Amino acid sequence: MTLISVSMLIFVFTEMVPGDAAEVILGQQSTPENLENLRKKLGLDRPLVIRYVHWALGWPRDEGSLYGSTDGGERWGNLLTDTAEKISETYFLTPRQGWAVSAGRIYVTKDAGRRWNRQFRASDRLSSIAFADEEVGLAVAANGTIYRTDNGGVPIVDPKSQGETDIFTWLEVESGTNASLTDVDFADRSRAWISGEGGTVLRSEDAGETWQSATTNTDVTLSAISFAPDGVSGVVVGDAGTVLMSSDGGKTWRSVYDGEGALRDVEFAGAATVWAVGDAGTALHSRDGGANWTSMDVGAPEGTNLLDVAFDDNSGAITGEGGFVATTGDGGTTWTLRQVMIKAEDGTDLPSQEPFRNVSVRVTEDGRVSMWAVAIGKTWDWGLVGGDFSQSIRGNSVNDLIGNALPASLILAGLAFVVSVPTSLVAGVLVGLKPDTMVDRVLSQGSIFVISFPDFVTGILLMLILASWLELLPASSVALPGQSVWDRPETLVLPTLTVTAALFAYVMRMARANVIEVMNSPFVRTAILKGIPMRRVVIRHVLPNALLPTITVIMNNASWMFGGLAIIETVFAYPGIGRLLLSAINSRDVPLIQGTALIIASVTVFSNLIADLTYGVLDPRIRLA
Amino acid sequence: MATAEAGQEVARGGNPALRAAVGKVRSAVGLVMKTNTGRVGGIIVAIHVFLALFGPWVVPYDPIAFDPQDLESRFSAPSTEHLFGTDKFGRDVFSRVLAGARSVVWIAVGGTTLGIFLGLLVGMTSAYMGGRWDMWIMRGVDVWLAFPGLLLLLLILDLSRKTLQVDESLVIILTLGIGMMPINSRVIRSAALAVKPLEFVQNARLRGESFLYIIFREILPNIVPVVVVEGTLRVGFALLAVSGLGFLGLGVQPPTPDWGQMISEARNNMRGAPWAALAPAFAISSLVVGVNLLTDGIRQSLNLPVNR
Repeated sequence: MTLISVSMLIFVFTEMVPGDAAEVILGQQSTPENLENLRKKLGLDRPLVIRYVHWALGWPRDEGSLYGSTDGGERWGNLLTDTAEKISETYFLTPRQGWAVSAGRIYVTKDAGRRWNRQFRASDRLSSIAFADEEVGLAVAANGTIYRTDNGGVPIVDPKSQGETDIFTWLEVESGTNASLTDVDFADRSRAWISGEGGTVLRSEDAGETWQSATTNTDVTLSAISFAPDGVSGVVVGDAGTVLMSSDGGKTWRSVYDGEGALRDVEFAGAATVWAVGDAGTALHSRDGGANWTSMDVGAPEGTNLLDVAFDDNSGAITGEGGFVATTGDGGTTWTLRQVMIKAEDGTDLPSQEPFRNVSVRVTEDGRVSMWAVAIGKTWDWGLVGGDFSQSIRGNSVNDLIGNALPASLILAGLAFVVSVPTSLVAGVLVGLKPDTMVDRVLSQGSIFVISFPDFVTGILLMLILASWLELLPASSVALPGQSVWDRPETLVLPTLTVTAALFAYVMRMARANVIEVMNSPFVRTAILKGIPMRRVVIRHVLPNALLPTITVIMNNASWMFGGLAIIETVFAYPGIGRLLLSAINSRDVPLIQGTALIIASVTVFSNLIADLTYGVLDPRIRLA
Repeated sequence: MATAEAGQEVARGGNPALRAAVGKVRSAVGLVMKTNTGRVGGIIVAIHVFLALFGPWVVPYDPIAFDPQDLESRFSAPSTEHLFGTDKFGRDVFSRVLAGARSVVWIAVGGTTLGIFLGLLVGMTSAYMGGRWDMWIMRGVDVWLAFPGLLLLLLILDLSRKTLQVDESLVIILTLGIGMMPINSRVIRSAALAVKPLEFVQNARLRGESFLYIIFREILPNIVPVVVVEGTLRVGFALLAVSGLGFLGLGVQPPTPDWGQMISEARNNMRGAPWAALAPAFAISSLVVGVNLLTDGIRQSLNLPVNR
């Protein structure tokens, strides 16, 4: 209950931080228009309540699962990809090497799709990717952005940053349009074409560096584009059965076919053979480079929407909704219906009913046909409830960042707690039982000094004495990436000592004062006068009553202590959660701020709960409530 | 003490109510001064307050300006010329510590006053209204408390810096006040709960006195000891918080001298020139020690337990 309110509060507050994520990402180059675009993409234009639900509960999302076949489509296996985002489209250059796009990322594989490595994170929703050779590639996004690479997309490590940041070689190029782009195709290394909504066709003759718009005389959404290997004749297809053809390398386009349902994909299977597929089982076929089209029956059940077609030489595949996959080995004369089997929950194999959005076909040198198909299913993307803190604006998983920092902080706080609370309670109780002795004076006056020193002053003093002058301990607790604080336990000593000092003094004062107070109370006096042994009086009468308020005070200050760790962590460069929160605030990384703040708040709420439970153990009157 | 002396002058003026009030304050000060801790703490705090008030006029050197060409005078060790040595820009550390006192004291006292005032409003309202109101207000306070303190500070700082174009020390005061409110209101509520069932409060209610009259004129005077202790205690916390903010680079912005910020700046040269960090560290620590000792003294003279 409290936690829910806190999560709301944190959300509303952090969303109010001036300068939203869009401004941060764009930095100095922000103009009102591209700010607006990016906000829309990041979902920042939606109302606060919806964003909160999204953050806390989750959101439905298309999820792609990748299936592969190496025997021309007879048997398919699920290629279990552990990518952060599920792949939505693949492009294979060779039977082994391929690239794939997910919602905002580009992945690369070198082993036919078994392992995918993240290559790039775009700030846009990517829709398609294609490569001319191993070096030149293009990816297009749903907001009109084109990304281009000329080294296969391999990130280069920035030499100046000591291996921390990569310079990505996917660079944005000027597209001249805001229209959503749907497909990209190469004829050779220099010539490439892109289709998009609103009748957009872009062409480039310099390997995708500059783009010209072509006239299409239509404004329907064009969903796919394909060119013959000669780069002269090309076909685009789109909504309302539109098929356009160009015979001059994409400069001018003319309508060659007028169908009914939307067409989803088109592909040149050779110099002049073209295939196009679309809604309601439409499969079209042209043998003269796209001028004349005939309908083909590929065996799709009545009304099945076909979504994608792919060819390599004579081998091809057509996929569609309802788990439809058909393959051919003879250039499309005969089609064989295939079934992709998936494991059901009870362990049996069931034919997949998911829509297969994308398919790729490549023939190996020894004649085997490899195929990859992406099935898109709806899944629920769990938010906070499912333990997902979403992503930081830099694209790292907040879970990972917190997962690294939280244990470090918990170790620090836990160590300090374990060391200081028992000792300080014992010390406090002992001096409290015998006030105004020499030991008591030293301890209680000394503790005033210790609690009066700011954490960072204590820390710096300890550092100066123990690290700089005596050179006993390392001054900073910097951990290399991937290293846990346990790897160098000596770095833990100074921060722990600093936290312990303050905590010890604080708790000891509390315990002492409470013990003195309880010792002077009538019921203790009665107990002593009744002749109960002193040991029993202390354990049964004094301690429970004296520790009760002490524990409340300790726990009430837990949130200040845990938040206060940020300062100590800064002093010692300790890789904990306080420092993570600080750096998140400095870089205005709202998702990261929300995640860390919520974790810190949960620790607080949790420690309050523990305090309440301890209370119940110590005081039977409370146990009932 | 300064208040007592000022009070004497006014008291001679003759307003009987004022004279009574001044008399009370004087006897209270006298009581506190009878305790050991109160005496030591009071003296330390008095020195700091004096320096905060008059320090800027007695600084031997300009605390802000420096000569970028003058490399000779950088990091010179403490001497008769520079009592606490010089920092990395060759500025006199003693002058900077003196000049930094005012903003720290002003922000901590101002923030605490605001925090106590808000705490009084919330705590007394909650206690007096009771029942469902009390439950909901305290639930809200719980949520506020679970909110990470540092984040709260930083968010309010960030928000108010951008939206309110006011002096930055006012912004920090506002932040401290709001951040301190929940703990203060809890303490004040529990004190007010003890007063609420007493007869004079019931009488005032039956007389038909207004809500504000009852909480400020009937309840407040009877919880003054708690409020005073809570206030001085929180000044100590506020001082720590202000210097912590300065240390994190979020407090008063350079070149205005600020103790926390000075420590943070001097930290990298700890080995060679520890005085640049130790001097402000000594300043802030001694001030908080003074405040805490004074708190202890007040407590002892009022016979209040430590745990609040």
